[in-house]
Amino acid sequence: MSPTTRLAVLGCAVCVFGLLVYAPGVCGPLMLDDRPWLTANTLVKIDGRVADGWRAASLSYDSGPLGRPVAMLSFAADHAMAGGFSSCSLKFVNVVLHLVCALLIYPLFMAILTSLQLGPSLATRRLVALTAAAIWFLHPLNVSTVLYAIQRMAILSTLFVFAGLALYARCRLRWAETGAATGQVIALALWLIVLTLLAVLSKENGVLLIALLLVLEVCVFRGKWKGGFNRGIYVTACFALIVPAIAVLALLTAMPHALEIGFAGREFTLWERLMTQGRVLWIYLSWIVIPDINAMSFYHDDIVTSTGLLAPTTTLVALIAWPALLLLGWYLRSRFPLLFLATLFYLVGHSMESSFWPLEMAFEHRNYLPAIMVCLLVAYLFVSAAQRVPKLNMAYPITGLILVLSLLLFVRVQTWSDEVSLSHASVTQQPQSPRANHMYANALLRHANVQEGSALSAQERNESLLVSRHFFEKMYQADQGDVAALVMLMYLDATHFAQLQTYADWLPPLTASLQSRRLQPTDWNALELLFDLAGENEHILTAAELDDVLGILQDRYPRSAEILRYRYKVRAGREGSPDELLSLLQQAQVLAPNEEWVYRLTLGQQASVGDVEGMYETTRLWLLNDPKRYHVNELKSLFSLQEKELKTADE
Amino acid sequence: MSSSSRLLSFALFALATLLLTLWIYWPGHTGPALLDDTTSVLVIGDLTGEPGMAWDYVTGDTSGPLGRPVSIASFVLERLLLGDDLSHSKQINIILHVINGGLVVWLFALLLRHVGTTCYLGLALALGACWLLSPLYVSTVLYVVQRMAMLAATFMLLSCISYCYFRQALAAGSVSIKWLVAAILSFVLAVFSKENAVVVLPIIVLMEALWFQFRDHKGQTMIWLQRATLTTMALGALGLLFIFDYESLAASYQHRHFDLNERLLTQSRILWDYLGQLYVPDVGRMGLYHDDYTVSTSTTSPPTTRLALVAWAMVLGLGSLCLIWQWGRYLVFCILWFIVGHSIEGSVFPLELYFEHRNYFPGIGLFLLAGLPLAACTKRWRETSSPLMVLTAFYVVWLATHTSSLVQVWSNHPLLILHHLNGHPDSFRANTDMAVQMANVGEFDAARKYSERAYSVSHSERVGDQDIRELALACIANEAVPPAIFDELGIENARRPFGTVVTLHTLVKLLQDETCPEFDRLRFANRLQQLFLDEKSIATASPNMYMGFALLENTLQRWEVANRYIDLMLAAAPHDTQGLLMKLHFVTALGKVAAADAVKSRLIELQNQGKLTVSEQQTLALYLEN
Repeated sequence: MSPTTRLAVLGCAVCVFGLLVYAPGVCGPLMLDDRPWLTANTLVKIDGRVADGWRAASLSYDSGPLGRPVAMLSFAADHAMAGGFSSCSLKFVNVVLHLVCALLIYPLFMAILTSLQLGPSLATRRLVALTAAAIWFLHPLNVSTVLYAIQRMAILSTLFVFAGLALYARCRLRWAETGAATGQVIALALWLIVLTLLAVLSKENGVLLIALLLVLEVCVFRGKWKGGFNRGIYVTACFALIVPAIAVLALLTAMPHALEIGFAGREFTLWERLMTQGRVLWIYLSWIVIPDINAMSFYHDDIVTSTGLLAPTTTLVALIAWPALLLLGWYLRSRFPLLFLATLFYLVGHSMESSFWPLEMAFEHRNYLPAIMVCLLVAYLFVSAAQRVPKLNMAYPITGLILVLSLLLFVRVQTWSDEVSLSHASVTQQPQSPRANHMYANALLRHANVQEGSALSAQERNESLLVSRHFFEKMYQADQGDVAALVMLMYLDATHFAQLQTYADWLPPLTASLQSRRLQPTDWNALELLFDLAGENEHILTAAELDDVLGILQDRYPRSAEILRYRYKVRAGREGSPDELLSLLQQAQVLAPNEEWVYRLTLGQQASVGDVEGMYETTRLWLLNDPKRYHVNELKSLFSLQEKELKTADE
Repeated sequence: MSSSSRLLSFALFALATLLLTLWIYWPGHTGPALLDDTTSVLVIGDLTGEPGMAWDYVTGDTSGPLGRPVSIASFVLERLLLGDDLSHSKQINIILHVINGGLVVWLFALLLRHVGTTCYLGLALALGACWLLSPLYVSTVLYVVQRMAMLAATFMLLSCISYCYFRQALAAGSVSIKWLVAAILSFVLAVFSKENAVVVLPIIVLMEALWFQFRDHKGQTMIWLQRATLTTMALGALGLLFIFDYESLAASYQHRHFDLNERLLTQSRILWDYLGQLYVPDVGRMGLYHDDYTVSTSTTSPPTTRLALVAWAMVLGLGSLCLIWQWGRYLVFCILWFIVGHSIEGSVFPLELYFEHRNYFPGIGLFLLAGLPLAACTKRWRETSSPLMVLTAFYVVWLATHTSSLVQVWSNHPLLILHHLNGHPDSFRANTDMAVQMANVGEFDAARKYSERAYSVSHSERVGDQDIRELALACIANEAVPPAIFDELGIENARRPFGTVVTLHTLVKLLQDETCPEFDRLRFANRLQQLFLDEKSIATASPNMYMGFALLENTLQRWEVANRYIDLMLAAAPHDTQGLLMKLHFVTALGKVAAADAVKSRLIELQNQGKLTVSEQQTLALYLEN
């Protein structure tokens, strides 16, 4: 067997092996953001027969500024083909896309290694490229991207970025020797625009493709053109890479308020985030280089926020170390170019989600794209080191590396194959993480509730509920203002542990927390649940208590339509008068004219009292305030239903 | 890629585009009948029993000076073959639009091949797809009566395509009679589909002058062709100057709320608006009703008028400059396609100001214009063709998303009414539609509210018309009308209390059908009699209005009164065959034999002159037999 064939076989084996390792996790649970954007998103759940359904589905993600229509379209296709959302089909597609990404980075790595003339031979370069692609493909850190259905957005975006990088590298490698005609350059630019658009429309940080191309130009191709050096290309690339960085620094210095606005709803400030990210980036890097699966988790909200350069002290070290590493890379760029490439690529790859945007502190999926060059660096070092060992058959160390990674991957995939095991692992690995505790407690609660009608014994069910309560209480002990913990404890005690209600009254700490705490999205979710449950169940809260809680919220957030919705739910659950209910919805409509729930509830309310004129007016307003016509199909079916009813009445 | 595989991939993509369009538009077939659908399409009755009456319809339409027999024939055929379901009409429109899309692609391919674009097929398909999926055409395709505009466009496109083939042969040194005949035949069919198809003639002349540029296949100028074309252009311009009569045109605006100058000023803005809607659609404003469009009363009112005029002047200047270059002439041709395409409906004639369907044919020029830079780019740099096609496909998808949502709106009547009202809150028609819808669901008070709003935004509606509309709304909602309302009818504008025939005829039809048992028909008829037939009465009405009154009296079997209305009608329109037949009916019912004989002889005389339709002849025959 020739070395090329051997590599091809090894490559195929890695692909098949990777797919097999991922297989147990494919039917794992749907979690967190999978619910609002997939399983609870009526717009994306289409059968595919009506053309406009695809449009509405593709626009049904309104969290990002561009709506991520490419990713949403892929979810809609999933639903249409499978006849519903199943985690198996969603995650299977994710795994396949992950494989496609791995296949795309191989030619990219080859072009980089060839251009930098690394490795003594073509066979070595191929081996390094394959090893690097395999490391990335089998890396356990990517599990939280690949097996988290909604993260298809990140995968798709990365796929198009990889395609763009691979295309650029391939053309650039050739042009470094031969040069290119104007038409070829324009054509490449146009293709890159196409891929950037696709990447951005999958997830906004696809825009990084442009910056990463510059990184390749600065670190790999370095102005090589037609067998010589073109200073114009090199200087322009350096300039284009540095100017935005300087612009951001200038903005931070001159107008920090502009960037600070978005942090009003966060528990950390802009500067705290920037300082913390200095450390977080090192933590990420350590996970990439040393894939310690015990450190990996669904949540990393237990990472301590840096409140000053010396609090904690590692902040300063981390912040100094990054420029130092960059300078070292720059200094060694001729002798050891991969260091500079990996560092710059990693930092630029993180420049959107790990910088001044008011996002949460840490998520593993943020490494999906930036990690590739680190993998290349590791693979290069590994192969180079192995080659120095005399008479060593390279198949052994590489197979060994792949097997170790696969084993780690397998263990992590197993964890991700079941909600309880995943949340248990998270809480074990991150015992201080409030979200991990919440996730595990919730999973147990769901487990107990699901088992309610099953053959599970009452004792097992009670155990589940008890452990769940324990973890909620643990959350409460860690943070006595934690709204999610308080709400769940209130619910559990009222429904399952009535005798405990005499010992613990959760309402005073809840009201106290609502008066002072900076409420986070998780807190709002918990409140939503509270009003859902309490609206129909007086054991949880009495009408007067609910009014008090709502009053506190309304005083704090007088412009919030959500609170009016809660009030509506509570009133509706406790037989409020139609006029009162309608008045609440009308107030909400004024505050939030773009929220579809306002119209849906108003229509229901008007229908219940036979107010046809009002229903028409509400529908008109809904249509008016839905300029992208997300809900036009729903409105159409509403009228079709009305027409059918009229016809039946006529008959 | 070999030429055969290129052709195959083009065919596959073309098929996919056409099927996509069909898929997107198909839900629209469940939409409602609108405006002129009632008078031009729904008026065609069941012909299966009496196919002989088909000819009546084909020759009897009065929508335009030539009667549009080709379009009407298509409606008649459809009735004969598919029955009277409106959704079939819309389905045929959708299929016709897809066919037209195919023709646009074909024409673009011929034109782009001539300029030497290497990937002319792909580019033609991409540009044709832009046209095919432009949301501005939803109101043409899903408005049944606009089959007229669509069929006209079909034949206009065929005419252009035939000319291209004729021209190809000519460039190679032979005269292809068959393509010339095809071009002429298509032109004739186009004009008999809708009269404004006549604009295809100047467009073909401009195509020769600015696109083919009189060249033969060796690139040499064909002097005789150049002279013939330029002479035709000069004669055309002189002819237009000769027939242009400002005074008579200005006089024809008496029924409009704007005059000739105001129309011209307003059109300068509207053309820019059309252009914007074609390239960067704002779907919220799109629809059938644009009667709320602000009229330009001077160059500064509204201020955008001046801007529009300056912009057109700049287009004129830059266009003149562009004539120097070969590609500049292509560019000017595309712009002129749009402008000449609008030269009938967007110029001096006293038509309504704004309709989207007017862009159905002119818009082709704008999409060709957008494709010119792409054509130039791919001609110079062949490698750019594929990415440019993909980028154009992105644009097509973007347009398609707008179209698909608009089709959904058009597929449901209440939704369309609300869409119109949101996009045009000051539109008389949108408010009237909403009033009718409210009455349909039994909400009379809401219906009155919208009716009042319609009146307040109307440019010329009389109080009497509003009153008649509200009576019709009361009938639809089956609400009892207080007697005082009848008594107050016609007090304002005592000399001419009512002006809108359609509303009155609708009300009469409702009363004929006894839709509203609560409505006091007798009191209403008495009040009208008091207004128009009283000895001291000063009120007058149009002949059609009198006919409506007569129909009402006929329903009440008060033929004496009906006969008096018909006399008034015939005094104003003595040769109206419908009026004469009604007169015959009334005098026969009243037993006035001599009067009946006189009317019969008058009708026989008209029949001998060939002025009676088949159905009128059949009606007359019934009376002659007795």
